[in-house]
Amino acid sequence: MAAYIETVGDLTEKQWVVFRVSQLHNLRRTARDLAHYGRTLTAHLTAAQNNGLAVAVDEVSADGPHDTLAVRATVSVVPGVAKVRGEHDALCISVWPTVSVTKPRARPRLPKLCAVLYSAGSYADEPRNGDDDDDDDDDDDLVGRRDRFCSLPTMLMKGTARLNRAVCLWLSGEFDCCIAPLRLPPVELAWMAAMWSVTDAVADRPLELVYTTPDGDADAGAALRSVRVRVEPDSVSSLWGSLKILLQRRGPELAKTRSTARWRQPLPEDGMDAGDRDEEVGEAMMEALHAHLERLFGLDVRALRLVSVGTNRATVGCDGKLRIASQNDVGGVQAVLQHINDICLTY
Amino acid sequence: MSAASGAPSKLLYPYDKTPKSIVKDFATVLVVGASGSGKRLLADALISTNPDVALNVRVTTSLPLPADDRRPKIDFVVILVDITSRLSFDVAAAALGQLADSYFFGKVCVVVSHVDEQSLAAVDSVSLDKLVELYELSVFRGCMTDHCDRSHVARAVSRLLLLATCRRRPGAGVFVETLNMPVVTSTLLGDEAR
Repeated sequence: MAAYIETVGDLTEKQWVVFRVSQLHNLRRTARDLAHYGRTLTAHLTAAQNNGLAVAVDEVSADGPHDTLAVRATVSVVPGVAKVRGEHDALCISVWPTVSVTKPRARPRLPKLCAVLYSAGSYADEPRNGDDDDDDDDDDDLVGRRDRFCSLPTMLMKGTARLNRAVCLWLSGEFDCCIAPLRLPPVELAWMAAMWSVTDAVADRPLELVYTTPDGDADAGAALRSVRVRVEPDSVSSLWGSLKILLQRRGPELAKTRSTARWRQPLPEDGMDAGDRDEEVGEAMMEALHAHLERLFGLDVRALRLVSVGTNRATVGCDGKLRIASQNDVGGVQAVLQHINDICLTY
Repeated sequence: MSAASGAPSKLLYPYDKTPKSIVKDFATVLVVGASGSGKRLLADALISTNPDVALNVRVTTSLPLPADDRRPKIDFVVILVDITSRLSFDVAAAALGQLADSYFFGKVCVVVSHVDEQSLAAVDSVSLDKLVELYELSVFRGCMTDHCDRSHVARAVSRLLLLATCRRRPGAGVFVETLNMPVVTSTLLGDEAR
């Protein structure tokens, strides 16, 4: 049975929930082992659905209809997701509904659950295989232990909550790992809103920011619970372009005159690369938006909590929900995945 | 604790007023922080930690303070930053610019609150560290809603406060720190001897 995700582009325009995964113990990637994992997961999910009645793994065959099985799971490799060379290829776990006995050739179009585990930067930077010729027994033992662990710290999952829990339980039992949902702090969401609002200084999608009042804030009143800000793509593009030109001409002077930014030491011109300049422009754009909202509505959104951002590249929520826009090319999708992976490694 | 009204004044100076109270152990502390950062909790903790000192704690959401002749001179300033609020950080950064230079010789410190809620952080730790480094301030981190954290932070702030108001002699730590200061020698000494 084919996997639901076969290329990087298949990750776009789907609502994912991001999880953090610790290192996986004894994960093998041969075709035989992946098929075994699929059968094991199928038996686990069927047993869970049958209220704990166990299903023998040997009875689960690769093809053919089985009315007794609730679902059928497959585990496959997805090449090209990891941006960093040398990292392990991503794994895709798909859980399909059972093929009907009357229509054995009918293939279900959508799986009940899909999970992609990937890595774009591992926990350890030291070489995986022992390239040195050291004959020390302790070092060999360490290399051997390291080889048994595989680092795929980020998991994108799409499915029902019950299936999510069941698959996470299976993963933690099969590979002795810990899985936790990713909670994105507002500071990371603000960075994404600043840096992903445009692609090559052009915005194709509106910039959407969702704020909520902090818990226990009695002054907010019962009426004001959330604030949604939507900025049209044309406005975002023109604002970005104007700020970039302004900062290029008067960057050091502006940094000195801004009272709240007195502590910001401007980077020397020869030390700034394109990424640093874009970060400055992004920060300035967010400050301009905040000042504009305060001037128009008397609302200081800096006192509110940012919970969701919708940008040119992706829509991200503080609860770990991620939706990558289809306008992105392969490099854009990989940049989003790389940043999400960095957050998983940090928090 | 009280609030005053009137026209805003200029920079806040530690010695712009003569002490009006003749009580021996009397000190005025100003806690600056945005709404919801835990100013009053910290103020209560400071008062309860120093029962022997007549501590007058004032709270405000921003600087400069309005002109008020009845307000005593401010001996110590505590800048409260809530890492879950971007506004709190901006208020703190602006407030530091409204203090006279003489406050930065041990009369001001920064308290970071809500440190246990990293998943709700709205302030970048790099930005906070840069701000603290620029002014060379002492930083204390804790959760104002937790009693133990609050007491611990209040005790740490009280030590600095008592040092700043000359009610406590500097301990060994300060002495060792002074020993680490670089010694500057003059190359002209040899010329003067000739």
